[in-house]
Amino acid sequence: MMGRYVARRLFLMIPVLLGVSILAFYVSQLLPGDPARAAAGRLATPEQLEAVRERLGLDQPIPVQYGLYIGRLLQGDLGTSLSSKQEVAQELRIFFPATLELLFATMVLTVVLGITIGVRAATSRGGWVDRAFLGFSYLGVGMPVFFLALLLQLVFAGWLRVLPIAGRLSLETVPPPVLTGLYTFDALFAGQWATMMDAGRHLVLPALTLSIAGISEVGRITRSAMLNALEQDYVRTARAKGLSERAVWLRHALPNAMLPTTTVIGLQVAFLLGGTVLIENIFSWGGLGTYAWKGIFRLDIPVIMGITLVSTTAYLFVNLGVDLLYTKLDPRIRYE
Amino acid sequence: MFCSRARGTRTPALCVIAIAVVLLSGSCAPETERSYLVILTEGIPPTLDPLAALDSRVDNPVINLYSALVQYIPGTTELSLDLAESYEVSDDGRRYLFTLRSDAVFHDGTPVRAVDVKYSIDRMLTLKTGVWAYLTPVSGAEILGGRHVAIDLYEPFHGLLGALTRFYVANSELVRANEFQGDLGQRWLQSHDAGSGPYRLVSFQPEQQFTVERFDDYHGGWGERHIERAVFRVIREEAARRIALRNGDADWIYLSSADTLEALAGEPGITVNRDPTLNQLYFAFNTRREPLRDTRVRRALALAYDYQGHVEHLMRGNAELPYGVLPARGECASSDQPPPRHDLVEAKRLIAEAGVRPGEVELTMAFEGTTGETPFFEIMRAGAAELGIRVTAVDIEWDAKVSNYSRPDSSTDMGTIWLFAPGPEAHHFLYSLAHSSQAGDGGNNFAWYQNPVMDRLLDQAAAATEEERRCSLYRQVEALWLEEMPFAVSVTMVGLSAQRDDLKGYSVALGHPLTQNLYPMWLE
Repeated sequence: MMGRYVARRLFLMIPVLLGVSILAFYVSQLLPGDPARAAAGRLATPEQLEAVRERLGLDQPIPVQYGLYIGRLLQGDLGTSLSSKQEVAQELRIFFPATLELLFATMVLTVVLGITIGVRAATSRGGWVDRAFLGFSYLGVGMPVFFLALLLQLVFAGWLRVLPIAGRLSLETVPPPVLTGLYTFDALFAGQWATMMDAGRHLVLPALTLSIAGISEVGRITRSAMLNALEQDYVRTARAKGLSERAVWLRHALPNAMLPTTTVIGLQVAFLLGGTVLIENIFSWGGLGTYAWKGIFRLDIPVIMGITLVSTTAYLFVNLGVDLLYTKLDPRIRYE
Repeated sequence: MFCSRARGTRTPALCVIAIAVVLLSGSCAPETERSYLVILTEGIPPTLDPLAALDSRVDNPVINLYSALVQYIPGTTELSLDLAESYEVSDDGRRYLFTLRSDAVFHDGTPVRAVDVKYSIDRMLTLKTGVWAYLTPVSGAEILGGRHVAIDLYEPFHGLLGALTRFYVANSELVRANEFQGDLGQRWLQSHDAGSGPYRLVSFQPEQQFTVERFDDYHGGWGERHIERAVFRVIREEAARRIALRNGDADWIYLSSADTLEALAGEPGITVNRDPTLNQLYFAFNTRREPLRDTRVRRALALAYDYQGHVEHLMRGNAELPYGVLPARGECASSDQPPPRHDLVEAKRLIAEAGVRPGEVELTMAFEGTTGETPFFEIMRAGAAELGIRVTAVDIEWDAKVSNYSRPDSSTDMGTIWLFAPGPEAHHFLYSLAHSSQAGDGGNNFAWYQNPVMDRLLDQAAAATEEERRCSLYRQVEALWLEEMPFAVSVTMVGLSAQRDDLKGYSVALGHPLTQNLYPMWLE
């Protein structure tokens, strides 16, 4: 049953991706400027410009251009960047793992701290932990992320000097052999502990910056779901059975409270897939956000299209993962 | 073990805290002295192709990786020989004969030959991009022997040597071997080095950093005091660059804000640099569009800009007003020429005369907010508002701006352009902006200004070998410019940067501002 459901969801991704690609393709046509000019160079002659326009198929009607793009896409060709002249797929292999690593670290912090704090706040409702968390959550959600980033840089890199200010590795550290593109994992697999530590230290500030809002959000939802769960009959029954309060929270209330939390975590992942631009720029992270930012400002349509499709695909898989997780958290949920 | 044994809600949080402690403790190791130079910049160059060195972001690495036939003596606009051992100019001024040094080699050990110069010239003339904008009078090159090469011109061109300082010679064999679908090596050169400069490329990480190290066989030779290795790293936020410099994690940083410069000026161990440059800021007016087709409207908008406010308040004195339309240190510039004027009364009179009624006109203005140009837009918007003209922002990066100006119908009404001329020659400023051949697809003439009288004057001036006649012609160009006002000439940049005290030898060449030429530098 579940297999059929997953297959159906995977099949349904195709029209979604097609829809997104059509939308992105048409919107990119509305951008000011001339992509042929961007590809040919600013001082190319009209003849050279026309040759480039023809070579890239930009002289064709937009639906034909789109058809040509999809045809190449089906062969795994995401096109060539107009500005860097490199294959988009190849560039994505460089930039995407950087964002994935940042996203992974951010989500570890968000999930672990968000759920822990949420549970603690709920189980000590009205106490100082709860009040402190509520104050933190307002601050975390309300504080502009760029301000928080600069503040953390100033405190931890400027004053305390305990963390690096930017980048993915220290200048003197040689990147580990590429396996996944995630420096921490690659260094771990290669047994390069010092490199792994260095990569980890560089992750702290950007991941912390990105996770503050998520911790607040996940924490608040967890708190509220926990409060709701703690008032249910099964919790009362568990307590009546003589279970310790900790066991009641963790074994009975928390699993039931995880359903809305999982939804929020899924949304956080989706947000981060496209929301790291600012932080990547501030921390010179060199990930998908930076690549997207450059692509947009350079009117590099193949890059914009490539990023849109990759982000959408990742988003769809995250959604699917969350939906499948529901069935594990709540056995009553069945997909047919 | 700690994480797997502990139980309860505290467990994961404790694990995170434990990891944080371990990571933070990693920083407690004693600091070792760096043996390399660290330069922090706003952005990584879009390519390392020497042909693109018109872009100062590209010139930054390229001046270290490549050599030119002639080059400016660091910190001056005086020319010295680089790859060329000598040169002669033909009687008619249309042929320059260069003899190359015998000891110059590329980073792969191949000698620099006349064939490499010809290949680089041919490549430029085929691609017609980048530094070609300053070398349009060049018609071709001819190999006269292993080390002898001639560069031919359509017409005599007094600015050739100055422009050649940005024309870097590439290893023809290496580039040819890496051509892809007839791209003349553009794709490969984006992240590779084919030069003979004092430094060779060690690594290039897109959007993060690149590292260069000294090339032992450099023809300029090595004394005792030089930089062995340098890392150019991107940190976009100026506040972060400032922190890194203060902490000793960087040796030199680029600054765009006068506030940061003032804040760093009193810091122990830090020196701030205020370097005069030839870079000028212009506001292009789309002369093909109403109401900017009317010269009175363009002149009114030029008069509405608060130049003095820009220099004194925005840049706190770290900018200069030009002499007429030329930078104070430019060729033919004369202090007799009045600086740009802020005169709202005259501006309003011109607007009324042009029949533009307050509130009726809305103009778009392109600028690069990412490089600190937003305040320029704000000053222009405030000035235009005084005239009853509304100006809206189009905040885009340089590449998109170029694309924006590629067609008059798609371009914005106004826009900023910083001109990074290769040298002080008036030609580089006036020709590339106001000659009709440079309009839109042709180059920097973002105003789409086309005037046969202006073209004739600029052509005559470019070919004039006598300085007196040349300057006389440029005076006429200037007069016509101020009357027609295709561009408002705003300010001349003062290059702002800060460095650690132990970095010595830094100097900015006026023709290569914002470029860190490592060769004369050393760490004390």
